[in-house]
Amino acid sequence: MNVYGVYTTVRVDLPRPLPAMLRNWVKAHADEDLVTSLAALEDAVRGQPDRS
Amino acid sequence: MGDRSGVGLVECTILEALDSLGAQPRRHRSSAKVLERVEERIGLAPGYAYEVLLDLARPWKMPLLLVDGQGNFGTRGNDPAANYRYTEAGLTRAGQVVLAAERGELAPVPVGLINGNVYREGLRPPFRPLAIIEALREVIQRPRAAGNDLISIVGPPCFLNGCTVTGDFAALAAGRPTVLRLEARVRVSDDHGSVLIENIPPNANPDEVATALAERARRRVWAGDHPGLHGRTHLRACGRGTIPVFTGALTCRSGIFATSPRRHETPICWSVFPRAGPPRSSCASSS
Repeated sequence: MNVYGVYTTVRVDLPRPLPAMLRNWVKAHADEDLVTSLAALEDAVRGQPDRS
Repeated sequence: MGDRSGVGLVECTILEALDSLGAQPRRHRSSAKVLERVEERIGLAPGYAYEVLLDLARPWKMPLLLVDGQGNFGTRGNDPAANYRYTEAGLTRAGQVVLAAERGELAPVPVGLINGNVYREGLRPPFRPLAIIEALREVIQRPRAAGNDLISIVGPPCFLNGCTVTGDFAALAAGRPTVLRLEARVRVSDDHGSVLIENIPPNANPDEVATALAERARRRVWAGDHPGLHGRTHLRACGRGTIPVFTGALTCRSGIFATSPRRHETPICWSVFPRAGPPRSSCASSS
């Protein structure tokens, strides 16, 4: 049996559409080695304890 | 805000202070000394900076932790963290990556985009770290990738703890303000013998949730709201040993206080017994 009722709400907003945010971020740093920095960040994420 | 990581000024200063003290993953330094350095650099008093330091290490606050806390960093409930004189902090690997990016030793990283700022009462929600990284790689490889493809890679916001997130994701992705609903998981056993509430949203205080529901249980409001429970059961709330006992005829079963497999998740347990049910052993506290 499922019982629903324990919840909260949260107001959210992004400064611009999500695809535009992603594109702008890449465009703003296009002259840098983003592939390497994303790989370093991915390693750090994978090294974190799992909280999912 | 750090232009190259999206991490806030105070947060970056804390990371710098940790690094200057030689803090590393699994190599902690006194929080008091870290805060002293922060005050020297930007004049922020320790009491204020400590709140930020705590958030950077609290697993229920953000997907990507930048600080590794040691000692009592508080709970999601009413238990506060220990004073900064009694805790220690180290840099996580992600914290080191942020510092390297801010110093120009590494290209920028999208940590601000991943963590958002809802945890500080802002409006930008957090997202799954690996999803954001994958979406950015897609943009790098295919600059003309369709917006919908990027949105589907990123997926809905990630509020941790496994709570169910519902709402108008399309509006959010389109850059329009919206309200999301974060829902805990509530399970009642087939024999109506127990109720387990877990995956509590990160912006909810489990102790306050427990107190509020216990009050409803005391007034029989909650049971009466649900056809499956109506007229058949009493509720008695137990949790962490701090929830008052309301129904004298009913007792709790220690067996339902199973620790959630999710780290840092504090389940709130309700024991539900038939009106004529026999008294059981005394209440136990959950971990």
